[in-house]
Amino acid sequence: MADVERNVDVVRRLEDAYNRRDYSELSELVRDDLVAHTPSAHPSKQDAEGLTANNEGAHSTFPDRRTEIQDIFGEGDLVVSRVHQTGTNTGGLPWFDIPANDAKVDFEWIQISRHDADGRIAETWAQIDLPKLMQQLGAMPAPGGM
Amino acid sequence: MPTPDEMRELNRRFIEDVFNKQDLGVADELLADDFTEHVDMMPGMTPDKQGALEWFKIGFGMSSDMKMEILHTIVSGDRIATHTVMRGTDTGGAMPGAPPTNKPFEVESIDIMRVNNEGKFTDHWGIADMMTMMQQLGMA
Repeated sequence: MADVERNVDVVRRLEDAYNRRDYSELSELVRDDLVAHTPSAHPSKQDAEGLTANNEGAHSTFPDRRTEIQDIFGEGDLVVSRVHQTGTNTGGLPWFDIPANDAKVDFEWIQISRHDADGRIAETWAQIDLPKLMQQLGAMPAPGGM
Repeated sequence: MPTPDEMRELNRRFIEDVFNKQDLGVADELLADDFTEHVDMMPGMTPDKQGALEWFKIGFGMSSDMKMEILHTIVSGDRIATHTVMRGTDTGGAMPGAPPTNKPFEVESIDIMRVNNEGKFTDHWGIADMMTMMQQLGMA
């Protein structure tokens, strides 16, 4: 398998693992010194334990959480994926001070990942449609647009 | 179908001429007539070429000095993804409906464009870090 196809496959396998909440292959898919760039935050180091905690947190907020990759392609050591997520907030988001409110969410993010020579994800840059998510959760007024 | 290098050049030209030089004519030239915008539009705007051109016109007024820089591009087949950072000053009301704050902003985006055989853009998906921008402008 060419490196680009292998890297794309790594992103697919990781998203599938997160959906199944199966973390047994995480160390094959992600470096333990991953640097994650996310909106509104400084880049953070994430190890398998941190990634597991993040995903478990998302599942406790949205127990019916499902993600689906809408588009994915790569070039060189980079892969871009556009992912659609749905779920129902029956668990609450304590870190945003949002209680459980049965709000349905339906939003996208786009992530670029950089892969090492073994295909493992070494660095990520993600943009999430946070205004839409916050509006759907009832935590932000509807916008003038953008 | 344009080659990957032609796709990159098309993308660079779009960012340089449309965003950095605010040349609406280049947007009109490079967007296909059947262009589809997949980002939610402002109320009253259509998710097509006409809506996109209207959006650019409004966008040009938001900041007098905004410049977009390309951080990463990924090309495959008919799609190109671009990770950018846009820096500028909120001189014209960068958040729709809000008055100008005259504060600087620095906002990253990731966008995906689809290109047709004639080398025109037919689709756009994208997400900008609007939460960070609102924080920088003191609105969140």
